[in-house]
Amino acid sequence: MAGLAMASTGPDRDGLELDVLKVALGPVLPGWPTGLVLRADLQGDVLTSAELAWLDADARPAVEPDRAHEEAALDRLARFLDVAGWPTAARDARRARNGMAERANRDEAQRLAEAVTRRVSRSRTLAWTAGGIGRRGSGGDVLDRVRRWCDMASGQSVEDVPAMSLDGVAALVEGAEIGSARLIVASLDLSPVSAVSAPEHLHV
Amino acid sequence: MSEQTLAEAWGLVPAVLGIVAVGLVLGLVVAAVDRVVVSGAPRAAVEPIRSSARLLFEQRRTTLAPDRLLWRIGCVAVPTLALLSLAVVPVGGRTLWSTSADLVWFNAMEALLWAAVWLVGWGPNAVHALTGGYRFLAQGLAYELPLMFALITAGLAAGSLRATDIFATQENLWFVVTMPVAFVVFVASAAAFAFWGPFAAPAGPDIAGGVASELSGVDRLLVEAGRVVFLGASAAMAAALFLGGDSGPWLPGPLWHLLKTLAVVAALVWVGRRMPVLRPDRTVEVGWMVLVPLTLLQALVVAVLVLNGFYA
Amino acid sequence: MLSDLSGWAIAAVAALGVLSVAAGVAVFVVDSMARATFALLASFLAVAGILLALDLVYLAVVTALMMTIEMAIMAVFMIMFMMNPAGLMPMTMVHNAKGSAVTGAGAFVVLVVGIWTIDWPTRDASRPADSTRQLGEAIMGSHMLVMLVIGIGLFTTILAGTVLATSRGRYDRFGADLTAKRPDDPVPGGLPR
Repeated sequence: MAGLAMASTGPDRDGLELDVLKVALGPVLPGWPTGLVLRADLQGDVLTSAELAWLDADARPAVEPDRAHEEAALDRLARFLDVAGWPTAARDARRARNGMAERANRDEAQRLAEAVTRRVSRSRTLAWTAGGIGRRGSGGDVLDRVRRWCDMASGQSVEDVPAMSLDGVAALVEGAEIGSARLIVASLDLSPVSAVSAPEHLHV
Repeated sequence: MSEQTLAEAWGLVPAVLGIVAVGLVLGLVVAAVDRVVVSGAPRAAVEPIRSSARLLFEQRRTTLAPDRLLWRIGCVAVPTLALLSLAVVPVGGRTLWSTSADLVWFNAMEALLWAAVWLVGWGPNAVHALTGGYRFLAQGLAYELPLMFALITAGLAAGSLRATDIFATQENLWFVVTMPVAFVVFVASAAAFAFWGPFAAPAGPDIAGGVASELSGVDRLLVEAGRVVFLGASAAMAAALFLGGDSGPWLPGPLWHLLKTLAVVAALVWVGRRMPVLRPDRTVEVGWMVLVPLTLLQALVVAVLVLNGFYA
Repeated sequence: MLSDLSGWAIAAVAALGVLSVAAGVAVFVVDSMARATFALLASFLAVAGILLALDLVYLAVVTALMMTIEMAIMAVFMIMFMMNPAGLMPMTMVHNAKGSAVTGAGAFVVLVVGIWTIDWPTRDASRPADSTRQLGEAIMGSHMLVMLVIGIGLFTTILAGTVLATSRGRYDRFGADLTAKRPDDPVPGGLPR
């Protein structure tokens, strides 16, 4: 059997000596912004010393295609729901977004958007499973950010939150389980424009 | 009801083929109902057949330095165990084979499923697959005991571990009336063992498909088929153990059992798809701290009823 | 006793016996922890098959059930205790070869001598109609104390193993004077406490 050398062991979050595996999540993962790469050490299923970077940050258009506020929020919401494993809600969010983009049946799309955002933001199971992870200072946790997407998608005005730097995100996912880290990043509004774009550097 | 098994009634080979066919049809029904609910379009019901045919001819891809032997064993074991668990589920009032420990047999097949799913996660030597495999182990550990207690509760009331005896005891009163907790826990644990719906974390999208992330071609078909066949077998078992099996007015018995099985499948999919995948950090604690004591309490209540001659 | 069994059953017992020994040997030959674990499981499943051939269904099924769970838990403990559970790095499964060979040979000799020299009691009653019921009556009756002691012993071992594996105790979780309302865990569980 072919052997693959593992990196050495290191002390982990729970006080165990576990193998350290270098992993890269991205640059194309469902629900994550394209081009975002998370490099980290994986011990068991816990991420440590995470670093985030944008691939080809310079080659991207500086301005995102102009889209309505609600459509963008619905898109973000659908992508988060994909990662959270809620396919029926993600489907409804996409349907609402497509309806809004077509502009023919805007009222119906609006109603669908309100229904799905109400369902998501009031869901007790989502609050139970995604609540409390990825908390940063006053910015709230994953759940708060998802509810903010919901408010935006249903046309309510929300207060602006400052964009997060990639280092800030890295601090958030430090010590998180790999699935939680995926949820945390999916709940944030990250784009090469708003973030401090750092060129990808070579890892040896 | 006759004490004959299906193997004795039909001959061994036709009986085995019959059970395999029943299992595959049940699995297809589960997959079709699931697809329809997820996509919201009734024509998606044929999607499982179409994707099965595609997977059958798809070329396998592999990973760097996989443990091929264990990987293949795991992939073949998942559907095999699902079909073996169906061997003690009454079909048309008879089981494929009948022993004095049917319920324990059903449970043992689930336990072997742990090993098989862990192997599917281990084999490809990939991060996401192995993470999924370990998630399944944790989930299996937490939901094994509640499931065991739920099964035993039904056996306790019937005074027998034989599936057909439990079937026959419920002619007057469905067991779900006196053991609702055991019924709900049984169905939920079945979903946990098929890592489906809210318990799909071992194959969750947050870890790129988990145990299934590196599967392709026939391997993926086998594992996916095993999951849905197991769900179908569990629904049939739930109907047999808790919903009175084939008792019902007007219609012939086997038809009643089929209808109840379909009702369990529909209810499971409808409820299960109304919520996101539950993270194992959360569900595991509920399994240990809530469901284990709750199912024990349920068994105690039933035991007291048995002593009072309630089910006699 | 063998005379009660059909020719098929005897053949099955013999074949499964060979299989179980072969799988047992494989435990020490393979070079990964996962393969060793599953070779051991295969050996136990062959033993369960032997019990099934002897028409002891409950014992057979329970053996398969318990041994599978045991191997799965072993996989979890493997991660907790070993610095390198030998993912797919080849790793020898034999340690202290000389000492274990002597111990193994000694145990084999003791068992073989015991099997052939002990005056085994002959069975006077006929075979029970339902071996599961008979087993249940024995476990819940005359052998209950033994079973309870073994059960508690096993449970204590599992708890002790977990306690040894984790470096965090209740003082880390609930504070030095154990007064914290909520435990301070890196990952909170699913219950509001």
